[in-house]
Amino acid sequence: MIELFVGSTTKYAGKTMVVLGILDYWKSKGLKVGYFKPIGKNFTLKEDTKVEEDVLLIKERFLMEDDLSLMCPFHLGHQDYIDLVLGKLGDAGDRIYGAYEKIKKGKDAVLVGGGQDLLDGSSVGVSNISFVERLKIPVLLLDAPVFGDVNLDAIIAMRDRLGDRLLGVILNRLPSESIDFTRKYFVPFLESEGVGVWSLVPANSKLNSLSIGEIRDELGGTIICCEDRQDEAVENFMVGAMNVEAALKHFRAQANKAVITGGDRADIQLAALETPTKVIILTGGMYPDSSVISAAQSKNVAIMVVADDTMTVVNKMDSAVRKVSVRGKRIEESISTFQRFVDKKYLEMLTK
Amino acid sequence: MSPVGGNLNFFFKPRSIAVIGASRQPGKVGYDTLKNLIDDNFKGRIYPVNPSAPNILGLKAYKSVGEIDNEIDLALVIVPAELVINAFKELINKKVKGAVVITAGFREIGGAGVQREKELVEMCRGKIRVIGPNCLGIIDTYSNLNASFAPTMPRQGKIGFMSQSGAMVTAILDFAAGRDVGFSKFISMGNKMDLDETHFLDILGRDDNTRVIMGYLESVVDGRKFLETAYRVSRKKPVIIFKSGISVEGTRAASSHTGSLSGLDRAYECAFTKSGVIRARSIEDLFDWADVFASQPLPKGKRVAIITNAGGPGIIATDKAAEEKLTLATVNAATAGKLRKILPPAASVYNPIDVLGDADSTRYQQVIDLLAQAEEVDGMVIILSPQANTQIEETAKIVSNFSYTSPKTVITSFMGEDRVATAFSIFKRGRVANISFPDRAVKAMAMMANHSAWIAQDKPEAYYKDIEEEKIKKFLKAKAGEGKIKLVDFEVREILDMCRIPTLPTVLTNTADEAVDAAEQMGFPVVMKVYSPEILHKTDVGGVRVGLRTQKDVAGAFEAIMVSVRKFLPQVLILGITVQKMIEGGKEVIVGFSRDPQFGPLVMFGLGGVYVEVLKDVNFALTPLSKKEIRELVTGIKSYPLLSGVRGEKEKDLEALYEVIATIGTLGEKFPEIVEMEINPLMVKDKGEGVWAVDGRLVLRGDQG
Repeated sequence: MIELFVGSTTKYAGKTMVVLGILDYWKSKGLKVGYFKPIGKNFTLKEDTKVEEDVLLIKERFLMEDDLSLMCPFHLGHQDYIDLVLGKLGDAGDRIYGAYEKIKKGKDAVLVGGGQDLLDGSSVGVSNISFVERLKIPVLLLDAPVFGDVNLDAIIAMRDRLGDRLLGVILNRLPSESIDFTRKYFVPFLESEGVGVWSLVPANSKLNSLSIGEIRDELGGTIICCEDRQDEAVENFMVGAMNVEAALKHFRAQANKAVITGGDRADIQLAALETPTKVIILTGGMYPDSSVISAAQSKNVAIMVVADDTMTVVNKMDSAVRKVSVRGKRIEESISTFQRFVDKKYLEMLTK
Repeated sequence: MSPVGGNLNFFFKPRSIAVIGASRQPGKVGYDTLKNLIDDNFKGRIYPVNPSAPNILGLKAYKSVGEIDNEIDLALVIVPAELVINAFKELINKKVKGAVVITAGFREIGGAGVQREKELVEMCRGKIRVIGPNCLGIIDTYSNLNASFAPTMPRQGKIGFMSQSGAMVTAILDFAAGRDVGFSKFISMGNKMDLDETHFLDILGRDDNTRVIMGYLESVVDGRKFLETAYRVSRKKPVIIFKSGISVEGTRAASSHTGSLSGLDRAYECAFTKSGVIRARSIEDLFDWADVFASQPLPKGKRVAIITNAGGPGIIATDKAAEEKLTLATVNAATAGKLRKILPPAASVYNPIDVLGDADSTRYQQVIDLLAQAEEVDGMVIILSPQANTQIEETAKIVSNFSYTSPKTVITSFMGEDRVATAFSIFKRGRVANISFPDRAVKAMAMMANHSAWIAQDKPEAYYKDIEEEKIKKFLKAKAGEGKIKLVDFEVREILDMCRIPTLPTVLTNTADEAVDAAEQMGFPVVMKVYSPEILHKTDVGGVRVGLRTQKDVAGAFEAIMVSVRKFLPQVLILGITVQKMIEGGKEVIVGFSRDPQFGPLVMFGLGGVYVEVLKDVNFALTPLSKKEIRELVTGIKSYPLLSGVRGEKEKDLEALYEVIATIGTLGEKFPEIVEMEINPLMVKDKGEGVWAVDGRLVLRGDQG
């Protein structure tokens, strides 16, 4: 049976994309696949029960029959940590290793998904790294050097601990302009250190954008114009608090954006409509002038009214954009991005 | 045929009018409007249309437009908004030529109103011309047409007025009645769904009864068309416009009122300057100027004589003349000699000419007659302060007679209110332009002199540079295809090359070693700059190092820039650091354009650095640019002496600079896909040594919405 652990050096590095991509590849090769996540930390509700968000997504996407409680047997959320410090949490090891044995049954290949980094689970004695060490599972590592340099320390540290079981590293979400630079300087170094670089995956704005509908859900807003645009992807957001001249200048330089401003700033709203804007988010529960709504209608730009003040909206949007998760349209886009940029020879290696 | 809207005479000289929604109830708009038509003696046929009344105000009423046997030139639509579409079906069937829609409840209310207006626009296109909706109506005093619900009809006069605000129309009408100002036409434009300010400008421009065009605008529909028409009309008669929405707050209010980005005031200013439109900054100015332009000939030059019976007002007027760049006419020896004979010894015979407080009407008359003959005087401002011995009425009569026949421009300023009231009524009868405050009178004179000078200019010819259009088009298309809208440095450099604007050797480096190599190859000294599409102000984040003369400097600068930029902007993508040949000597300037939503490319020029950012010493002009406009862009900034050479500095290469500005203007005109572009800085070397583009940025339009 094939086993593979996908881990990352940091959170939001793009593990879900890699998991989806590999599982899809395996399935395309006719393998019966399973997915396992030893420690769950990111939850959603399904029929009012706390479940791991990614695990649910993967179970549904690949129509897996295993029970969610087996696929992710151990949760570490707020109450779990309280139980942990009170000594009421019970033994993690038994549950995790027991569940993994059950998941493996009848499968040709099982993919194990890591947490934020490989130290997740240390507090309950089953860190990701100890899990792979004990079961001798090969590891594929993911790093996303978005704003800076490749995370060499984390990668080399893992190589030191895992040795040959570290299959390689995928450098994800690289700005297209810095790929040559990375290839010139970092790739040769990593390879000379015995870490194979499987792929340099360029940033894909489609994977990093929120839809207007998602923004509405995130902010608890109401779309009052062009509701049919809610699937449109928003890649950037800008705050409009300046004069029109400055607004035009800033707004022009940013495509596919949301503009956050007050309902009383008709000038800013109209400036936004002059530039590539997907949605205008009006804060403080203030509705715009009817003249603005009609201008937005004719340009097919959505307007959303939210109760929060601008500062709160900015903070919410900021964190929402940073942790854009793979949902909806982004699922298939993730799979195709992964398969487009990761060399087939590595994928084939994963089937042996 | 007019180049703008065809013959639209049926609006102002209709042979027949149908009043759709005429009412029997006094106080209703449908009643007041019909009553205005009748009371103000409209000479054509009037057909009230009302489904339930057999006759209204003594006229037979029709159940529908279809029932009317005769042809209808004009329809006034006053029915409730939801009935307007049906009314237009009938009007179109009846082949009515034009309609004035007084009914409100369209775009201005949003939602359903927007849809209604859209539907109306669609159904009217090519079939019927429309003024409004949501307007007060139109008035033509020369065809006895009061197709409005305005409570007063002005007397006949030479001023044509168009207004984006119906309320301004009623206010101005009332104001005009009080001042007894006459009008030729009044047009309330409403929502401008079909006919807009450009059409009305054209109509008033061709109207023989209109000598001066006065307008109140909040926004224009099509900036370029407006500009062309305004230029054409301004050559024939003065166009004086009061444009509101100047301040940030005002712009906001105008935006919310009209639902269109009212645009930057600066762009309007440039558009008015370019097209010869006289811009009033207050309603007071609008009136003052319309009045003087309508009643007085334009001065031939800027030489003005100020005649006053009091020192203070004379000084005030003189200050204003200097401020407005009028020339205080220098009284020549012959004139001074004659003045001396007329005036008492204590009087001043030099300009301002002080006839003294005891001046009677004869003294005024003698001085005026003398100056009328003086060829060194183009215009006169005659000030009178009502002093104890002043013969107000007699002097008013003299001035009135003179002003009516004088070939020279005369503006009077009889100051005060109560004691000079008799003079005012004389002026009203004599159509004399009196402005009670001397500074305002001088300002009006300055406006006339400026306009006169503007008319004397030849039509400017657009100056385009030869650039590799096809190549640039292809390049921009490719960049847009990559989803880019911001182009920086190297990308802009490529375009500048295609425009033959010299750029400095620049290399993008990723390591200190690469930077040192690059510097050695191009030769020291060099400049190093952080390279990132996301950083607008590189200097502010420590992203620029200049004057690097050694390998050590360069290696150190590489590290320093990285550390500094990361500290300020930890989350910004840095693509590397550029190494550029440093050019010594020369002045840094900025040349660029930003596409105004209404008027198109607005070219900007200024001296770089502190001059632009702190002192805001910049000049703007709308394209297409003539050679003269290019020159004025440069010579018009306050810091121009720094370019022309001060304190022993050599003159800079202005000719080369002009060519770059022309190129930027050409790019703006030829490539609508570019919304902003800037060369910053452009180094202007000494005369004959050319210019170098150091850095640049460009923004593509991107998909809107």
